[in-house]
Amino acid sequence: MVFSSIPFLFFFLPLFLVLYFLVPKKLKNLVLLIFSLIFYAWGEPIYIILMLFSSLVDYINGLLLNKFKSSKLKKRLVLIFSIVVNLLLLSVFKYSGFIITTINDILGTSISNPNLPLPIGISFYTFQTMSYSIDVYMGRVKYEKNFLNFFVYVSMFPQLIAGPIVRYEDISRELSNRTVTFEGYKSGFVRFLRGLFKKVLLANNMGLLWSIISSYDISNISVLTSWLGIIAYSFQIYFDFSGYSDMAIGIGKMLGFNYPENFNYPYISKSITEFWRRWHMSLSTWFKDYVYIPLGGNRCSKIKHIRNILIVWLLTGLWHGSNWNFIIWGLYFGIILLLEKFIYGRVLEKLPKVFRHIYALLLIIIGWLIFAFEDVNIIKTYLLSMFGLNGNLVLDSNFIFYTINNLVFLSACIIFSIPIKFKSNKFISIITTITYIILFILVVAFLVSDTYNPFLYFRF
Amino acid sequence: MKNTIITIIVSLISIILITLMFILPKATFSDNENRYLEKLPTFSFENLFNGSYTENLKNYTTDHFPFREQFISLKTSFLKLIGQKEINNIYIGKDNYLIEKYSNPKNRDRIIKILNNFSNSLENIEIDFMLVPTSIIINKDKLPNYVSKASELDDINYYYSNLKLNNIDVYNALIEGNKKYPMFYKYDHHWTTYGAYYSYVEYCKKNNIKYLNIDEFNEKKLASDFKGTIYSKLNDFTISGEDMYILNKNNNLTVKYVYSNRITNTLFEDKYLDKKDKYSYFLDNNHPLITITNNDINNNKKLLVIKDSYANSFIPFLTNHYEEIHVIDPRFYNLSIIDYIKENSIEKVLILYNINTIDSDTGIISIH
Repeated sequence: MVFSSIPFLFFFLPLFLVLYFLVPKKLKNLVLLIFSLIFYAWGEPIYIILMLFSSLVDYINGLLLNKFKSSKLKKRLVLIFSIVVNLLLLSVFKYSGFIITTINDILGTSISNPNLPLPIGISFYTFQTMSYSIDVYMGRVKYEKNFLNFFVYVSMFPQLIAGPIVRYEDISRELSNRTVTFEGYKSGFVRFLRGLFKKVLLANNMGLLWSIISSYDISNISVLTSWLGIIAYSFQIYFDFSGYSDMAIGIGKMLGFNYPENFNYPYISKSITEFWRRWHMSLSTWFKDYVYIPLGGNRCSKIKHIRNILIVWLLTGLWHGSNWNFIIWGLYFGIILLLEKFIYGRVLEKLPKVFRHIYALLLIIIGWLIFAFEDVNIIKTYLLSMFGLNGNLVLDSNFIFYTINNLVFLSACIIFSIPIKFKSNKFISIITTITYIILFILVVAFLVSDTYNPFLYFRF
Repeated sequence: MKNTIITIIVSLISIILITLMFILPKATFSDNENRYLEKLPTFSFENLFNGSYTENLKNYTTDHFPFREQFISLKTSFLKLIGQKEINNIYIGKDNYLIEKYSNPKNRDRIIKILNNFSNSLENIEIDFMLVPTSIIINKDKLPNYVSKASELDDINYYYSNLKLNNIDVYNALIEGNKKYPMFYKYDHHWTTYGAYYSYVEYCKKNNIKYLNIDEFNEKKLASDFKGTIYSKLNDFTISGEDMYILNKNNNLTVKYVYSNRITNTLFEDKYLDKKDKYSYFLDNNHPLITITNNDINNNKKLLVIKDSYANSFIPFLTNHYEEIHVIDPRFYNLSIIDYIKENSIEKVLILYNINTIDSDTGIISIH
């Protein structure tokens, strides 16, 4: 199920909230678990088994790690077991198709591709369960005795399908004992609405613009149209993803959980290093804590340091999708980060702010281009069009038409990409309140039109 | 305080909508969209596991959402308000024109091959081919500013230059006619009766038939509130509809809807005039096979029309010149048309399609 749909907003969520708040404290986790399973089963009922399996493995690992407290070797074996199982799950269900086609391409073999559908959220929950075992091994957290609590941690629907990647240590206390306040409930509620607006009003409309432009003959679009397209995509991906995180964090708050923040205005960054401190923060810190630092981080020789950075970014790329373009995308950022760290970072800092913003945005946008297309040739053609190297025009009527059409959406995207703090006074709070209510009604209108597809059978 | 009020009001709105969803009666058919709305799916493990149960449940709740039509109007009004000129593949044109966006053809070469094969197997039979453009190139000047040029005319000409049929090009006639009468509806994707008339004149010229002048027909206004398919795509409540005319000439006809066993003496069905779908007035919407006999003519001329719905308002003009007209809609007629032609000793065929339909039609690709 997705948050931005009529069944979720008007049936699932209200029913869940009523039950969650009606039942006594002891039963709240059970209600949360049952609804999370329904939420998950909505699309892929069979894959619940996979999630249950992954949870069971790491729950038992936690118990074993505690039992073998004194034996380093046994502890190590348990940890290796956890990592192997989780990575195996990911490899089979997420990467097998990619691995097989790559092998076939290189060796000229014809191993058949099982074409397994990707289990929803697998990239998120395997990372969560893995981090739990690692943390217990490192002694950072106490193991969880109660399987119900552990399974709730893994399957909790707000963050199940699109993050943030919540670590066990972040919410271990809240799992067994959390306080629900009206204060928290309503601030979570408003946060959820904000995410919903971002997703339905901004991301979806930017997506529409991108889908129109990307369906043109890319070698022939004008320079400005190509920029408009990729900027629309950049907004789509940001508001989609950060909207989902807002909704997750919002629901979490309503229920009494404090999930980590995931986005901090990434498009105002002045360097790529800064961008990755602001974008999908729960993922970057995950890789930092569980890959980069264990590999030695920066406290080793320069060569090893460079190796560590490249490994982290190769994996970050691969985590986003099982295709070459994602690997290129990850390494692209790895290399820029190395350049900023070792070559021109100091110089960059001395440049005027405007220049640093342009520098960062340009590289981010080109990054999204690599992210957008699985076919490397299309990426190349698109890039050439962006710089007028396909013999394409600089300006065409399409650019003017679609810019005027989307002027309001584009402006809103720019405004909401920048932190703007209003001084709170009565007038502004009244305006905000009214705006929220109007936007909510508008969101319903957009969602309801989803199935509104006049069927023109008398065309024939 | 702010958060409290937002939380309470949004929750209240939601509760009201949920309650209404349960108590309001559910429509089964949407006139506006011309389709059946999703039914409440029946649960089975099979449906659950293949994902269709949840998908249908989602469509069901969305289809039957309270004030659904109003919400859709609201969305359209909002998009218009913020200056969008392209909504749901419709251009919001000048002078209240709504013009459907042209999408590039996908099956062009495939269809050309099919039609050429079709004509190869029908030696000695004269086959005319009329490919009708749409409003987007005839009402070019009504498009919003900066809309890039549609390739529709190039695609029509591509068909004409690659088909081995007798082409009847109506583009210039429609451009000329559009100066006097509207050739296309503003709120429906079909041509008007006038558009059909101007193309009929073109047809007659090509076939050396003495065509009737427009003043030889009775012009009759059928409706002033026609809101067709293009209206439906927007559901814009500010639109009140447009005029619909016919050009009529009394003939003593026998019209036989072969597969529904119905015989009547008119090509026009008044019952549709009170409904939304007014274009079905012509030839009772679409039927697999219709035969039309003009009892006032004794010229032994037989014509077979293979067509989409554009022909429905065009055929009435032809009845003045042929003793017998057979009308086949390949979308609903699955038998061999070649056999039909031989069995009924037909010597002349007209294939009439609109450039959009010909590419998306499921009938023409199985024509045999």
